[in-house]
Amino acid sequence: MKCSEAKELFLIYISEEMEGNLKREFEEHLKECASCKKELELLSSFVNNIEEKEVKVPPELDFKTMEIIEKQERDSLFHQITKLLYPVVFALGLIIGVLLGMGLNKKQEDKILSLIKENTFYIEPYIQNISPEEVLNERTK
Amino acid sequence: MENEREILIAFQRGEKSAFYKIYGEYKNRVYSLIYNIVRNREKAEDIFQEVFFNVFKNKKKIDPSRPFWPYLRRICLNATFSFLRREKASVSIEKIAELVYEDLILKKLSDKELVNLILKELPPSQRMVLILQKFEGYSLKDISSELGISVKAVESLLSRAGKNIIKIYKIIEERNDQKRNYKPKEVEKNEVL
Repeated sequence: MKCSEAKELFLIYISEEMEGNLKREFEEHLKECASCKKELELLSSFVNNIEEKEVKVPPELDFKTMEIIEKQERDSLFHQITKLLYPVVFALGLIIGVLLGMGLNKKQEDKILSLIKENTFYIEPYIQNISPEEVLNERTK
Repeated sequence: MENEREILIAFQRGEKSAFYKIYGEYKNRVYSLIYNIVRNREKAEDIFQEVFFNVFKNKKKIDPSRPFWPYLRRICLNATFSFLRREKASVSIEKIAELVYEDLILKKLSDKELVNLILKELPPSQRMVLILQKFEGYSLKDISSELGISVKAVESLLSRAGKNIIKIYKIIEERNDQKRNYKPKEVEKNEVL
């Protein structure tokens, strides 16, 4: 095994995850190479000296986290309510639309009726398929 | 936690007191795990909030019949790993070594302090793998499945971490040698006169 290959494996060897031929070759290389052996010892002592820091959640972090949770809760409640209201709002919209449409139709109908009443003089002969000349004759009689 | 199953079921039903119990039970453990990986208070706080927000938001995904800690730890590691992935390493190992050396000289650090300072300055994903092995007793396979990366990728992170640590020590050693061999230039009498 070359030094460059051995250097790739230092931390894997320290974590005791190397086995079989690879482990044998690695250990044989260490017997022959003082420089790699020294570097492996350095890394091994490094890993042993890694310190686990016991830290506690500061009170202001408790406060900030709870604020986020409460906001999430409020948003989700609002979302649920709006989700429930969607069909109601849709139905209401539909009803209002129909009623409005009907109201408009009624107005339109009344307008047409009043126009007909006002203009019976012109419309009736047209409906009865009487020519304008006949109408004039009739009127002048 | 006593009656963990009942508390988790109550939490899923929307009982807020159950959430407070879970939070109180696990908050320090979660914070310690994140802090030990990121080694920065502000970043640890951001990730911590994200973790409990996700727990609260996805409460229906919890399986109350299973121990809660492995589930919570996975959320924690995923949040930490994706946070660290978003951060781009901008400082070279040479620069890191210079910073560590300055601290070593100014603060007269012990071996243990030096180790923890180097660890703090290592690229975050490499540091994360080292911490998970050391404190959570994870195998390479465990890390690969928890972080959703291949075993080869974990090995590569470890191998780069090893090379970087050695490089930092070598640069520190060089600086120490330079310092030891440094002799102030003698001022010749003529120059003064």
